[in-house]
Amino acid sequence: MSDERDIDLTALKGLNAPKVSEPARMAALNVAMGAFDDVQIEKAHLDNKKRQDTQENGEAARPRGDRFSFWSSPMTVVSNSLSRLRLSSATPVAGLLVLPIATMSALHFYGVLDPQDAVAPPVPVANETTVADRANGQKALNQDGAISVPGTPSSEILQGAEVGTKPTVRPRPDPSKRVRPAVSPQPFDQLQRDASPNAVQKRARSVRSFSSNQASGQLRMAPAIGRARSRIAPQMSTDKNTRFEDGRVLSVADNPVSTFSADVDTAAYARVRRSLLDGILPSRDVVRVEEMINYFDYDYPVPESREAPFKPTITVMPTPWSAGTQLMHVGIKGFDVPQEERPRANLVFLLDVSGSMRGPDRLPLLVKSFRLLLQKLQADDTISIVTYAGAAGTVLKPTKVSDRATIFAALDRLQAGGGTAGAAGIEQAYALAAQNFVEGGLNRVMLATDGDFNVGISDPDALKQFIGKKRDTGIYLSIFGFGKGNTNDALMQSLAQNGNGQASYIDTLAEAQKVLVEQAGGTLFPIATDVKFQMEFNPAAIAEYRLIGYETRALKREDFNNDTVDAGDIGSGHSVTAIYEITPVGSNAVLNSPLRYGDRQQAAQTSTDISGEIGFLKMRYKLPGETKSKLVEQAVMAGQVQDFDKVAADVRFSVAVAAFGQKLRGQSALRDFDFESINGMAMGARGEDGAGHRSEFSKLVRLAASLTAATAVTKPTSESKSD
Amino acid sequence: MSLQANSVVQTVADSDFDLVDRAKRGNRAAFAALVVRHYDFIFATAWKWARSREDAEDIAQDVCARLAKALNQWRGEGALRTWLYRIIVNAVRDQMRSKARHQSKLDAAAADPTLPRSQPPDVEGYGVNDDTLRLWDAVRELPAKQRDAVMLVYGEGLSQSDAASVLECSVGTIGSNIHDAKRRLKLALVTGEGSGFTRPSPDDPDRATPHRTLENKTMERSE
Repeated sequence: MSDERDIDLTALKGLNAPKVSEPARMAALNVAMGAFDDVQIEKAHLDNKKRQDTQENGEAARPRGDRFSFWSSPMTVVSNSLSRLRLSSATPVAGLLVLPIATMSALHFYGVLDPQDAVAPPVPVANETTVADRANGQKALNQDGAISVPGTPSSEILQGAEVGTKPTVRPRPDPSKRVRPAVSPQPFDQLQRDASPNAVQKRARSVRSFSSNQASGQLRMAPAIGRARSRIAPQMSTDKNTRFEDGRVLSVADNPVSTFSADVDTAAYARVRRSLLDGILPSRDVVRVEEMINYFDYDYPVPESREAPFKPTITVMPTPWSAGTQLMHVGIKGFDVPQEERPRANLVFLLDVSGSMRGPDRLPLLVKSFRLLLQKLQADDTISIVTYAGAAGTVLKPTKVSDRATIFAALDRLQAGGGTAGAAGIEQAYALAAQNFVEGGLNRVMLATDGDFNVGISDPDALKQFIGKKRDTGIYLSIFGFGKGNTNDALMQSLAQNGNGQASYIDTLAEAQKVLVEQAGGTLFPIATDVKFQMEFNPAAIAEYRLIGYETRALKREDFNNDTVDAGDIGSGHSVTAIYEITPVGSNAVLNSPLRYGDRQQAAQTSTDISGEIGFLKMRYKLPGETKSKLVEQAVMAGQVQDFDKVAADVRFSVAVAAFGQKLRGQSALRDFDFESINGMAMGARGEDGAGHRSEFSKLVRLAASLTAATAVTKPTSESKSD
Repeated sequence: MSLQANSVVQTVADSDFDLVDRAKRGNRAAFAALVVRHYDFIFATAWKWARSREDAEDIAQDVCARLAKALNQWRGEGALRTWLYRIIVNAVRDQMRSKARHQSKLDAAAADPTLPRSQPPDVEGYGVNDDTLRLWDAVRELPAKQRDAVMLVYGEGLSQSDAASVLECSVGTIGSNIHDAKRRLKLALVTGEGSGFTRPSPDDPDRATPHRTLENKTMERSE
């Protein structure tokens, strides 16, 4: 074997890889950022632990440094980069702008837009594909069932000289492709390559049935990918959202009383955030303003005892976004039950393990999230785990939290897959909860799903009844939504409402940290149930009012005093905020003209001792386990209007969130109030913001501003917002 | 493009070293910049090993995710690329192992016609003549250590000592791997297909061919 010299390997040097696909690059970036965040969170935990250890050893605490810099760093970058992003329709963009706006905003979000790497290379790609090719790709896309989300694609419609009047929709980047390739739209070039009827048909079939490609999908998932989470969504979205209209401006003369239920859900904020980070303005129906406001924790004055578990703090201030009106801000902070006084908990996790839970932001995130929760429980609390929709059954019998190893092992064994057989989960879960019932303790089923409520009772109303009946026996239900595109938001919210629980949407480990660790008390321990609000306005002082948000929480006036009517609950340490925009009598901002035959004596009837009041707030609540409600009342006096700048920072911040939510919903009152002002208001009230939630809010406001601007440019013909 | 792109972010001009340093301290933008900057390189390298867009994209995504963790281990010695090669090669090996595992399960489930067969290699982007293609085919069939050494030294143009530091072995090992590789390649190319070369011998667990079960093979990870 002496003649091996004549093997010439230098030809290997001439190998050239094909062009990078931009969606794949974005998908990789998203997964990488998810992994990066996970590492940072782990680091923060370690730091924290180290710090505690050193403190215990009597040494000086280590400086906190930039423990949370992973929150703040992108925001500062984004503020600069986004404000400089100007897409003008008059700009002679070479050929066609190939990077989807969504991609660009994602790049901006991460603070990167490399002029060489990210922007320049796509141009030649554009020149290679002709308009006809693109049209074909479009057709294939549609046959594939991968239709873009209604109401959102405006940011993706790209117009260029060669396209003429026909807008071209490009597939959105899709990291789940790596995990579930057959289900998601293929990158453009691949679509063109295998757009044969056969291939299209094959893909269409796999879109319809997860089960046929489960085996392959499961095996394809690399461990590192399974750990990461993705920010960019599959193109198909089956999110079900309840449609609702904005609360109207009501005339006090016609409707002096406003009644609604408390709401401490926060799912809407997480959804809005996810949408914006995907580079899409959220659709109106996702934006429940009160949930956005209540996402944040506010330092309103705290009541001293559990017997009066909360007290309202009322602030009246001029409306930042319109002249002539005022805001009446009602802030409530629930009593924070000290950890050692908390009742024993009996938690049953009811987990969806259907095939659709396989995505990295679903079951793997769920497992990590529930591991986080364990640290907030006490040693003799118990955990059970029941699965449904994949392999059904009890995975973990009631086990004390002190036996962590067993619980972790059970969580780690969970695997998504299989069809939808074995759906009897919910009854099994409640049976376990009942069997292990803790008298006077906390008995709760915690349902986690990506929207598959195939728990054994298929009729939603029957399911609600079942949950309501169990609630009356003392077993409550909380719901945690995972994954985007398949989450049945409306049902999730109403089931949790029926189960005296909270509906939360967990899209990242950071969100799990917030819901299950920072706010574990509120999530788990109710301090008041069936909390109702009723505000009566004095027609002598207030001409009109509009309740901001709470559209889906409205109650009938007569239901306020009816203790059998269910309403929202407030958990330990929760804060709840309600804001009215009110128009004083005589203001030129009054919208409703006075009635010609109006009831003029009514105003005159107002007796002198209450003439100083502009409104009267009543709240009803029950202590947990009780059936009779208690009443709290408080008058709102005139002449309390404060300068906006003098108002407590937390109140100002909540007003900024209210403004943002309304702006996203296209509320006409905020038409002339821009995102920049909202951001300024929020940043002026940021406070300490240890966990970075408020800085993140600011980032979202700026992202929304850029997306709105980009949408306005790419869609010059139709100014009106779709809804 | 008049996107004012150059005013967008300063991180573009920063050195890898600076970016890694900032990313290590938790700076997201710096990490994102690193990923975006090196994705092309990662993808291209992965593609040359895998010769399939889909596999290369899988590997590249995996590498990007691993970077987040691996960052802390890079002490700034040597070029970032050397270090990246190491992560890529490891990811390639892992991917090929899991693919082989996958294939064996598919073989077992062969009765199910809805499951995908192993796909033929991509035909895009070759731009090479038939001889090179045959050589490349043969290289891809080599045992992993020989294949990696050949690809790094001849395909990527690394020196033997750089290749040694990527593969974390001695220069001598690289030399002997290349020597063995040449012998095998010659045999394969001279005797042509069906020489037994394309079917692996059972004592070679690192083989990248997709028809074997490698369940028991433990991962040899260096990071």
